[in-house]
Amino acid sequence: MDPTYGTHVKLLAFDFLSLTQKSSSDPICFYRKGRPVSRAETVGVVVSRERKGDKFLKFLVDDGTGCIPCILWLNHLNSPYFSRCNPSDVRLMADMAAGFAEEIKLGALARVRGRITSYRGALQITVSDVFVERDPNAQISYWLDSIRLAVNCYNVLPSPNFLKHHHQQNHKR
Amino acid sequence: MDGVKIVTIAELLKRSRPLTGASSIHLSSSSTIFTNGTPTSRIPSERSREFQLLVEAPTTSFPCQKPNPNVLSSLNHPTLIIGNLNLPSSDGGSTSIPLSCSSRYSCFIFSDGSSTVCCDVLDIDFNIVGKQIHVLAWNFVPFKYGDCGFLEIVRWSLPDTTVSNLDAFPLGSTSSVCKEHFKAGSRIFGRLESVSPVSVVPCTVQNRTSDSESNCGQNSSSRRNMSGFLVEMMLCECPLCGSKALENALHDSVQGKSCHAFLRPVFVYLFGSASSWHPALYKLIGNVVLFTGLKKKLIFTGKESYAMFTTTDKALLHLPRLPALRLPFRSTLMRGKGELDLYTGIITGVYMQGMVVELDGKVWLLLTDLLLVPPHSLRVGSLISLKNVHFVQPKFSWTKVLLLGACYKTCINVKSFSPLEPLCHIQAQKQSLLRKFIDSLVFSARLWLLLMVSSFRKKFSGILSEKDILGSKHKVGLVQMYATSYLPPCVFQPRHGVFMEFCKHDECGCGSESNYADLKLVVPISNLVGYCEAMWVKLLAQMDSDSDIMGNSRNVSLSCEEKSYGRLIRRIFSSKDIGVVLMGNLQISPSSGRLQLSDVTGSIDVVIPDFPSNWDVSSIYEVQDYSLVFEGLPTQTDSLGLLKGDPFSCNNIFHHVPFTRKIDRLAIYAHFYLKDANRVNVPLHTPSMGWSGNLKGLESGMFHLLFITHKFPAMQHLQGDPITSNMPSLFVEAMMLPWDLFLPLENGGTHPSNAPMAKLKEDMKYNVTENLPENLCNKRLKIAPASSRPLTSVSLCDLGKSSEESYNCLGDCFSPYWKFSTNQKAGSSNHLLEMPCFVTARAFDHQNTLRSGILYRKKPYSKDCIGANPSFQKVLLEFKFEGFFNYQYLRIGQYYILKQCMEELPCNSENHGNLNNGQALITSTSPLWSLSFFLHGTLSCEPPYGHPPDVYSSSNTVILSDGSSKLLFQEFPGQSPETCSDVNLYLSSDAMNLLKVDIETLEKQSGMTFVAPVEAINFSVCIGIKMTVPGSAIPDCRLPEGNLISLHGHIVDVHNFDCNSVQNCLRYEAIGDIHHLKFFQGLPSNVCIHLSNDCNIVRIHGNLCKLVFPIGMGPGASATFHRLLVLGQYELMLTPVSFIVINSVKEVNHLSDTCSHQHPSSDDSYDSLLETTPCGLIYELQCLESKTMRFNCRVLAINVLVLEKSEGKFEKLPLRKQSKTLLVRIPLAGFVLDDGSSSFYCWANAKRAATMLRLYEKISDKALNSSCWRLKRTQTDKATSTAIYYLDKILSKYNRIIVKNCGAALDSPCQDLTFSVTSDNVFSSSDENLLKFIILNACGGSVLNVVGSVMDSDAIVKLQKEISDMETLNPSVKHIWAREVRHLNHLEDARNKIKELVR
Repeated sequence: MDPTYGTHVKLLAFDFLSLTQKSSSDPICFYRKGRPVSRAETVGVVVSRERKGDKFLKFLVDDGTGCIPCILWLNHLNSPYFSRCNPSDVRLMADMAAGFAEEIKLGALARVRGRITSYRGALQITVSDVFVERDPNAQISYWLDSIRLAVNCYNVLPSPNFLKHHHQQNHKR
Repeated sequence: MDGVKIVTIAELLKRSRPLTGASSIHLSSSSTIFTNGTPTSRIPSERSREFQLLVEAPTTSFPCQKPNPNVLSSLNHPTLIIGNLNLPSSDGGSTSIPLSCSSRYSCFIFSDGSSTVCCDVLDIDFNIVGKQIHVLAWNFVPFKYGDCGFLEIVRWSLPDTTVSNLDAFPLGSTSSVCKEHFKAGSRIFGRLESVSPVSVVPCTVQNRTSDSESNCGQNSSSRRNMSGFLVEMMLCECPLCGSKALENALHDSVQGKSCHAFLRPVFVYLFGSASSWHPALYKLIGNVVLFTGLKKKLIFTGKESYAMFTTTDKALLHLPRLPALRLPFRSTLMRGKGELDLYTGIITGVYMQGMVVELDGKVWLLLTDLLLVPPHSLRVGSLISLKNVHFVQPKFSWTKVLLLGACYKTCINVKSFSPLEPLCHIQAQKQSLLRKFIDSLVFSARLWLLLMVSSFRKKFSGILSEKDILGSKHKVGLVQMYATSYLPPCVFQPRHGVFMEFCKHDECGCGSESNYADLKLVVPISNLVGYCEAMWVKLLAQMDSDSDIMGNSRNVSLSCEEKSYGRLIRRIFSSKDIGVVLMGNLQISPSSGRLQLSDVTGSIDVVIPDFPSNWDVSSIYEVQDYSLVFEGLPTQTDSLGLLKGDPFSCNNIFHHVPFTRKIDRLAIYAHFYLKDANRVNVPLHTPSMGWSGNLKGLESGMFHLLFITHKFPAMQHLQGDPITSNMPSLFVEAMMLPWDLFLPLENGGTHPSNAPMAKLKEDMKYNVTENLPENLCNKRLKIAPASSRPLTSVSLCDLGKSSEESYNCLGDCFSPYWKFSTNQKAGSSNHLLEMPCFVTARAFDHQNTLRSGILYRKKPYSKDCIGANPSFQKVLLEFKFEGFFNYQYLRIGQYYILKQCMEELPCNSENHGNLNNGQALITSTSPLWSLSFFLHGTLSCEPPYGHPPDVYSSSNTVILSDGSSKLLFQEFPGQSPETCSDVNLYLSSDAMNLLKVDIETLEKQSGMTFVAPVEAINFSVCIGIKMTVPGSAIPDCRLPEGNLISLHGHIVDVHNFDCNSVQNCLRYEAIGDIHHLKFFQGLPSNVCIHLSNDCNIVRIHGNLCKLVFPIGMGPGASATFHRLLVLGQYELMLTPVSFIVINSVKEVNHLSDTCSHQHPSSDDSYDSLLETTPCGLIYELQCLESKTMRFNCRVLAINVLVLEKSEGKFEKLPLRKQSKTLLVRIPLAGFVLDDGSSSFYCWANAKRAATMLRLYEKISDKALNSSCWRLKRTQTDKATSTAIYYLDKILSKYNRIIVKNCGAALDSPCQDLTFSVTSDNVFSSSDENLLKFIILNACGGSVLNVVGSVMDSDAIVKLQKEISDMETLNPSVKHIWAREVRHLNHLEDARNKIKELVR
């Protein structure tokens, strides 16, 4: 498996929004220049937030090159998805998510990680964690990091030898 | 028995040495214990092993090894003493009892016709009282004072077998067994609960002699002292006991029938002749007895009255006939708050004349009360049983101790006599104020006070007299004065006398210990030093145990010139952590020239940033708030023996054993502000150095204004005798300002005050204008005689509270009266310019006094010379030993005033042409005062001392932004100028402008501009003095030359230096005899100092001997180097005249062992690690073979987490009970890190793991509350809201917690976590939830800067061992060991990345 698949890729919004999806693939997989990606990280200013009760929080992260829609689920306690899990764990996750939702304020510089998903054909990030940056330089640092990663990693096709190594590691994990 | 020799008491007394005659036991008893071949007393079997240990291995504790207590010497043949055993005489007469015995009513008496001694008997049978007995086994112990002694009867026999067993004994003088009175109201049957000490009541006794032989019923009354004691009985209220069938009742009780419940307390007062039964009844405590022939009476003590029984002439004591079956003693739940209970133990120490007894090496018995006369056999080695003793666990900050407090209800029974030699230390105690004071305290405060007494006596013996320290019958001593000022009111308990406290024990509050934790101990300095050394060894040992799996040892080394050197560690501990008080007098060490705090036991170097000139060398200073700094190389581990004892433990305070330093290569010093110190008002009997150091010299006169340009370091050893004349000198270079300050004589008696500020201002303005140069050009001014009119002084605080009267008074100072008389020589070019000013001078108590003064210029301005560069006179100040205080106090770049004295300062002539020859000898009588100039507008009504600057306000430690602590060594004049200087001059703005011209020129001329290292590279611009070297007589020797500069920067490291390297880098051939010796020895050694500012590092080489080596020199210090020789780019050299000033130091800890609640302190070496390691992507790592890389990544998951409570190994090390440092050890943690290119396993420990876990970051209350884990939080400061605080709380319950993540679990990181703990406690679900929360929280942290090394197969095997039962590691997968973890600095990161991208 390509290492970019398991990692949180740092893609600028314009890059992120141009990911392609192969609908037939299972699990759902997105591609950037032919390389599979499943998780992403973005840093940007929260420019819109829309909360649907205790179900979810939708917000837009503007990183200067575009806006990435993000969805933060808040329905852990009601969702059948978690029904098999330990109730106290679910409660903990729900509390964490609620905490993230509070931190997502308009104008905040948020570092968001999550799975890449699509809703009605539009790409979005299903949020797993949020970190609000206090230092505005984090944005510039992120831009440069994204460029560096694109140049040195995402645009470079991995060697077969590397893939073999990585596969072993992922297998182990 | 053949060969038995009869020994007489007189013989024993004549020998007057401790003896044992226990040989007969050897012949007959099987339970004898042989110690060193000597048979000794009978000892219960369960105690025998302990006893053996005690005899063979005396307690080993710091700092001394107690001398092996000698076993009593034995007579080598069976002996016999024949004599009579008697009760003490009841009339208090001294006929039968040795005079030197203080416990006149409490000892049995043994007399054999030859002489009489006190005695004690094991397993006494009351039938032998008054009879002749054969003493078969005995110990004889002479008293320490007096020519008497004490007989301990171990075994005895009655020679007369026909003696009948009595069970009733007459208590009164006339009662006899045959005349029994069994009236219901006159008898008491019950269990003997407790016996009070014998007290004497002055009373009037009516001698109603009814006997016929006296004067026919005539009454005569006489005043005499009546001795007596109280007995508490517990009665049973069952019908049988109430009946008259007492014989039956007595037998029933003895046969152990459990029908009795002895619950009702009744008191019996035995007085007169019955009081001689005190020692006997003492032995009967716990037994069931019957008293008959008593009388019920009301006894009044003040307002209270008690119904109790008293003895009559016919009183009898009945004892059970069969062997006593003792009823179980009641037992209470022990909480250490003064409950009464029973304790049995072996005496391991008797201190303070028997007031403090150490039991079993750990428990402390207090016998302070004068009435409590402890038995003579209370010797080291005795086994004693204490009944009704108060159990107290005081909350002392410096040690843990269990205290047993004896009160009037306490009974001490010796169960087995000591086989050891130590004499009975108990002697008659004198009533003194201190004794009364001790007894007025609760038990824990009593122990504290006794420790203080012992400590003070050790500290000041020889300096202060015993009377000064302890006080006397009418005078309060130093200890009591000190204690009174610190003891809270709650520790004082009113005393009510024996009757009240015995009968209404609980109501009197005896033993009720309140909570107070602020009592700090004043310790002898030698104990403090010992404690510091032990702490250092503990620190090193702990660092050893925490060394990395990667093989990182605690000896972090520094590379310089391709050689590596050990790195110095500095740790700073606050006084709150240590819990003791520093006390001593300040002195200059004759051997090192350093300032020290010392007492008789030792001394410790001190750094006092606000060291003033008004210094009192004869004072004792007390410092509560201080920091202790340890500096040393982490190499020494062979001193682990130091760990054995605690120098602050009670027995090490009570013991008088000197302690010597054991670790040479450890610098220990204390840092405090003198404003935090209290002066203890006791005159010291030291040979005074003659330097009174107060403000005396400042009263009046003419003063020079000096500007210190350089201090020359000590050039030679200062080990000369300070008294002899052949002493070394220290030199200081100064510039003399062409201004003099004149202070007119004050009239001490008048204190007019309340001058309005406006008027003051006006006056100043008026005067200066009048005397401006243009107005004065034709006049020569001369100061009017000062004594002709009294001047005024006014307290600064009083300003502003105006009254018309004082207005006028102060106004007078600036009235035309103070115009200068003029020299009639018109047209003279020598003008004097006068400037009236206000002067404030600070005294030790920080009270400013305001007064007036005149500043006048002695060198004239020529008409057009204002602004031109005048040249200043250079002065060399020489300090003899007694002036070393002054030398310490002077700072380069500061202004001082020096009193003019024509003889001592030859430069003070009108001959200003001879500027370079100025030299002044500074002795103790010519003090210097620091000076600051201010505009008069800044003269405020508030004394500056009322508002110390924030930086010093809370503690003497500055907490840096990164959480590490830093100590300032110098007060910064910019921050608090008014508090820094001894003398402040307040000038008008015109006057200030004039002065400024000179000051600016002066500072320029002296080259006092500091040059930062970055500028040092381009040294052509340096302001300095060109050092020219005269042509050398030795052709081969070429001395270095260059500019001398001053440098300011942070010391990155200091290490010894190799001679060859020095030669290479200094580029000259012969450097002379260079010694390569250690820092901590006195001889000069070559050192290399790495000095940095934010950008560059320069190296300074040179010779430094210990004398010049300033305190605090080492990594983490901020320092100013004066007169360094510039050799080349980044290379400088210390010259013999170079002077180093340390401005501040901070903690340096290369390997942090535990995670405190503070942030990990920044560390220069790892900063450079972060800077120098190339930044890469995890994705590249798979292909690269580079060993160490830096990654910008975030935590994705946590695989393994091992948490430990750190207190387990070295309980005393954390020490921060009060400052509440939390100690969580993380031996190992495994993370999955992700940088956007890939993810990898990263292993870390200690603070690196803590950073990755976000343990130092604040957690919102909301998150905590919602995570099902609620804590009772008493405080809400920053520390309590961090994750590590909660982790610490959890770990206090479990010793070790291991968390494993068993699943893939990237999307729900806490789903498959398993927890295991190594303690008896079950891991609670709430703790589990909190830990899960911390782990989840760690997975959402910010970007980290991680420097990691690829782990090789060996390291992976090691790691595998660590986590053996956790999982198997795949060696083919790359594992990274985190060497350093920091939060990413985004700005710096962006800079680097853009550089990389545009390259």
